[in-house]
Amino acid sequence: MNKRNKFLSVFLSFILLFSVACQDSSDSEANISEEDSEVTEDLSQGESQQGGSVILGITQEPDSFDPHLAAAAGTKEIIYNFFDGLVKLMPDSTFEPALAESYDVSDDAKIFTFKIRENVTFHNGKELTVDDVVYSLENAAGINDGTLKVPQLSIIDSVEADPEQNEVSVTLKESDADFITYMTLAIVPEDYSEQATEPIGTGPFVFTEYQPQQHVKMEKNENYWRERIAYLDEVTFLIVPSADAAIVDLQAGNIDIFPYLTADKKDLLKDQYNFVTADSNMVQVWGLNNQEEPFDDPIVRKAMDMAVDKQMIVEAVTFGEGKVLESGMAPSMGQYYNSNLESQYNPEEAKKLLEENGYSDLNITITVPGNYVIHVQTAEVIAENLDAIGVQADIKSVDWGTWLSDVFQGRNHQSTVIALTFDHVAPATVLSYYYSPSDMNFINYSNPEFDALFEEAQSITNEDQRVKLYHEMQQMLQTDAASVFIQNPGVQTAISKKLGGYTTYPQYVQDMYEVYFVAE
Amino acid sequence: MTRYIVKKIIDMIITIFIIVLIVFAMFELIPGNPARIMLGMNASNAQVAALEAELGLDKSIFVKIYTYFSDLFNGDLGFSFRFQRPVIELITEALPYTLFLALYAFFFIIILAIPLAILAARKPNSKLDNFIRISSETCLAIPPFFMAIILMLIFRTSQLALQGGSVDFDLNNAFQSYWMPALAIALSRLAMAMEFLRDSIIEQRESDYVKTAIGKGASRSRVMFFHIFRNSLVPFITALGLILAEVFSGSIIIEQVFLIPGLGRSLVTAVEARDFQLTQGIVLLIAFIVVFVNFCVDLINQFIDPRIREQNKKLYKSRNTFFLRMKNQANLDSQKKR
Repeated sequence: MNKRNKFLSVFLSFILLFSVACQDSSDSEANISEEDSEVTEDLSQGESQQGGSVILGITQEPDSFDPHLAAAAGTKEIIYNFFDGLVKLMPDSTFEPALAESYDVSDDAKIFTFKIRENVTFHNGKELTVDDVVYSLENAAGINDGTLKVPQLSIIDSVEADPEQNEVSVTLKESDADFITYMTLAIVPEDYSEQATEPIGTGPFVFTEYQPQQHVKMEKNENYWRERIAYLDEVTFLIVPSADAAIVDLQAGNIDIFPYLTADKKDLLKDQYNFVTADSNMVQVWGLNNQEEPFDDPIVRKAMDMAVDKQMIVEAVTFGEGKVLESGMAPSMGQYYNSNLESQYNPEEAKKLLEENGYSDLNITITVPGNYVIHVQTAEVIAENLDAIGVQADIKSVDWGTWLSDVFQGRNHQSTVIALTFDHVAPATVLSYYYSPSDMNFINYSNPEFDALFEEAQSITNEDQRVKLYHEMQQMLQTDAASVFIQNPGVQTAISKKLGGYTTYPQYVQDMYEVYFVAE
Repeated sequence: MTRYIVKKIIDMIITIFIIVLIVFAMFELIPGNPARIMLGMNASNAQVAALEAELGLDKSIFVKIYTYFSDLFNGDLGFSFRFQRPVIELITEALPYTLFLALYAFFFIIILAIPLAILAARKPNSKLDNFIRISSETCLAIPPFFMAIILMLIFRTSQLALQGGSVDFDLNNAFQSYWMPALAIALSRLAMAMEFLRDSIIEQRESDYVKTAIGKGASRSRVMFFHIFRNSLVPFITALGLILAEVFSGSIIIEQVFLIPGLGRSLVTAVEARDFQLTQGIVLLIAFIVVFVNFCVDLINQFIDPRIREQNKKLYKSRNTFFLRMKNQANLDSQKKR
């Protein structure tokens, strides 16, 4: 061996040694987790056991922890565990009493009376009183400081406490049968100003730490008011920059629950994880700007509704997990959802319709928020569908901030693909996107008949009549081809096979109270 | 020397002032309303407007610039509305990660570039030289984030991928957890440093004093390390200064891939949220680091090469600095050739 080779080999062995030294411990750890997953396979249906800590991956940095100020869906899903409302939304879209033992609604749906539960304490040890409930409602509705924080509560006229009876009664400005759905509102202690950074509620978990870009930590509330306290000792919401970046951590078993899985990643994870598709209250829509050419012509919109192969989108984009929609509401809206709307899919007819009305060589633009892969891919499928009927579609990708201000608020678009997500099972909130005076009406849909029905439905209390009106409105949206309703994409969650009890709701939350480690 | 330092500091202040103005202009130009981003789709336009007024976003750009600079002179970097915390706190938390990553990558560049450059320079255009240069240039062509993904794919086969990733990713076990991102950055920037040093060594070896030294019977390794190597360092260190700036920009993207909670990730979050104050703070810091590194490079070069020191003395006595500096460099080059 000559001198040069000797030098080279010494140098290379140094590099090799260095990298081996760096990898050693990671290697053994990864092996352990691999073995673990084999041992615990198929035990997910087993008995629950107390204790343990869970890491849940999230992709959004939280904003304010104050439950009345938090705007991002990514924050609400975390803080859900710190707070309770007067009622709790159940997986089947019904409501169960929570901090209210019971409640009573007046015949005209204007006065709601809640009997407040006794012996409930906040995380800081303070006992829950009617005053806290009054404060929470007044604060969210902006009655005490003039700043409305939860838009749906603008309907509250006054809130009164009856300490003798331990009751709180809420009087509305006008009848609103949807009102009880908003009473999942978090109840917070009066005279506590640090909610935004150190939230305090009555919920099953107590906030312990937030490190920006890293994690939010919580531990179980030992004094929880329900008969059973949470199974888990500790939960960490780990912040990862994207769903793709989380895959490596999932494969290494570092994340136990991950709720933003794209269906194509399932195969990579199926040995260690179970999968749940949550019927989230979500409507993916190809929004057509009703005031921009050519979509100002209902015939063109109609043709678009006929041209889009929604089943193909479900198969290609959500891998068969989404549900095709013909309505602006998702099935999780229960009785309000109009399930009788028929598919309009008929590309030949669409082509004919366009030709007959002098729309040849149509060129359109679909603006998509580029950070949502699902919408970008959906737009690609739509473009392909349109190509088949001779329409050229260009896809323009913008970032989320631009989408919000230009497309949504500015309504400066020809068409866009987006998912509308709803916190409440309130039909008026869902359909407000098509009510012409509404700020939410980013597609500029305008039909006086629809507006009249919308106003009527809010003012009456007869449930059957309301349901009928909402069904009629959904029919109207389809007849007018207000936009193309595509699918309820469903949120795919990967859950470690070591865990059980994961529950989904028609609301975007992560309920850690029900989650447990399966006994071996 | 004092004169030189004072001048450099003035340069630094002007550079930073211009950078702040550029960021201001960019935020005026790019679409997106921070208040709307914070409130999302379910807020009314009136709510958005109210929040804008609360955050002071409805004021004119001149008022904003004035307020920013007057705060800056008082040592206040502002308040991040995305995180609802002072910018200085967020930066102090994120900086150690980025700094460590950049220096670790830099360390890799140095320990790889020096031996490779010496090997390559032994016989220019030999098979070994070509092999080293082609492979390092291939690495140069691969952006750091892609290099990172390649490394992850290679090492994942043996379950080595980023142990813990983001879990307990703290500075205590940083050497173990950061080697892959650091290597990814280093490999992509290695070629620049390596080639500079190689060319410089080859150039020096041709010069008369080296031939004289060999003629006097000095050993090969002695000539290499005491004559050639030392004189080759000036361009190499200048190159390292440039590379360090690139290493910083490389780490911004790498942090996204490896879930490192450093300045890069904060910057991306800040821009996405149109969090003007936080963006401004991070850009300011990175600009400062780059300018400062270049300043240090100048100082180090003066220390290593007395010729630069002498000429700088003349240089900074003159007002026509730029022109003279160019002339100066040309003189140096011709001296070397001679």
